[in-house]
Amino acid sequence: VTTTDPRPIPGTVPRDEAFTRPFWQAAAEGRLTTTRCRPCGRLQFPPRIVCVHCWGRDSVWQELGGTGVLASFTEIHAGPAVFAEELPYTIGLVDLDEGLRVAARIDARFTDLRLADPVAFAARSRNGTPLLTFVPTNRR
Amino acid sequence: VGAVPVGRYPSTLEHELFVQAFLAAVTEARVDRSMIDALAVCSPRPYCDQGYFSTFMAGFLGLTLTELLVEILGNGMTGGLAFDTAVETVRSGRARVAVAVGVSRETQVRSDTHMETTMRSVGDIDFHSPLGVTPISWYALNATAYMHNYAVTRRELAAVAVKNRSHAAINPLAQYRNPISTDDVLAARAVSEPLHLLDVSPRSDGAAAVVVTDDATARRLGHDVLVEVRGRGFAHEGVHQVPSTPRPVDQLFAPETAAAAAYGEAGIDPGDLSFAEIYAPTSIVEVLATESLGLIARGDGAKAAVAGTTSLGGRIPVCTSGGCLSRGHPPMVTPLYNVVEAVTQLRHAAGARQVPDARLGAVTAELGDYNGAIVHVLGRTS
Repeated sequence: VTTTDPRPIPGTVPRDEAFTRPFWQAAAEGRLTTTRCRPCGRLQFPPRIVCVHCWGRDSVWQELGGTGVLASFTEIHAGPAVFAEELPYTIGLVDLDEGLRVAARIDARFTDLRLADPVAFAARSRNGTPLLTFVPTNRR
Repeated sequence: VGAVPVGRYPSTLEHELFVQAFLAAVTEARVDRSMIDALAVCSPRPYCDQGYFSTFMAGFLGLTLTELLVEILGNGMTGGLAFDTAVETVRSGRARVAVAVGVSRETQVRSDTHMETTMRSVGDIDFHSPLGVTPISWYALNATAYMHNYAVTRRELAAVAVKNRSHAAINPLAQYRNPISTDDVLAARAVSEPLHLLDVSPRSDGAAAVVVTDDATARRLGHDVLVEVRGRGFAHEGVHQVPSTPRPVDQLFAPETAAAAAYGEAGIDPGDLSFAEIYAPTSIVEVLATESLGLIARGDGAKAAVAGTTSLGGRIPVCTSGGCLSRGHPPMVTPLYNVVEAVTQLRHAAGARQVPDARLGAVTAELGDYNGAIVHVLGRTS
């Protein structure tokens, strides 16, 4: 008897969860969102059920501009086996205009990027699940 | 101290490596089994089939303990915490003799399969792992920013790897001992740009043990030259790889805090150190750590390696063992190997790689992207 485990390999896709579902639904539409803490008024990323700054547990969803600059980037040539077909791929740290830092895929090769390059959030997916991705907006 | 040479042990099981390192350490320390009160064991890799490895080993050795038997997991800091636990157990007076010991074995698993596990550890499983992050990729992000901000080239960064290999060449415990050139480092295949194969640690198996005791017991056992723990500092910055808000990517914060505490307790300045044995799984991490530890000025870390400042014979030799890059990096026990090297240097028993008149040395361990750090200052007493 063989059984097929219907669950994806852990870590390959974000888990479905009631709290973050609005985030992933918006991301699928190309909109970047996060939570703003009501008590202290500050934003954080990723969205969380508790504010990382004040531990407040009362937050609201807020739409972000989806633009920022590259704080750093790398192109991965040796990666986990489950992502072998995507190699090489680029990931980066994006500092959003709202003062948040987001780790994401960057849709560009390492040699085509420079620090502080402007980037914008893009609707990308893998197997029907959003893949957080930014694209450079100053294509040389 | 005791350790097996770092390397690949495809057919030597965890408990066999444990026994080799453990017995080497207790034999050298002249400690009888009845004297050992506490045993702090590094949690092994997930590929260790034997569960509850620490109690299994106590049973395997028939070792009775009256103070502590614990299995410790602190990610890359695991070995540092095992050492710290042994030290604190003795310092508090609860144990006369405590042993920190561990085995790390992973080369029987392919690296790309191994990374399917580590990608879930070195990041948020929902927001980072699906990007395909790897342990090395976070350090690569440090490297890109550092190289840009301080106009450092890959050729300059390569000096760290070349220097460490030259140290490893004269360390019998080292995994890679054949010389390499700057061109070799530059020509190696990319792992995570801008870091290539020789800028990062190899995959390694290893086992190491450190015996800790109080001064009176050590003297009674007939040891004339002692290595003392003079200072200790710890810091975790409340960040798991990526902070929620921007900050510099080209410097490490936790080791700065931890080192300040360790130097303070020891009553020293970084300039007093004879050497530093740093947990640095990539060349860039060694550069950034030397700066955060106050050994090299900010922005000068790679250039200091080029100038020989951190080489044997330089102003502050760093990773005289060859470091993670060339001694090898069995992560769960790398910090114990760092202690082994520091003790060997402070006993003036390092042979060809001896730092002349070594009096004080610092050892570090870290986890994450150095989000957490532990620093010990060790000193020679004779």
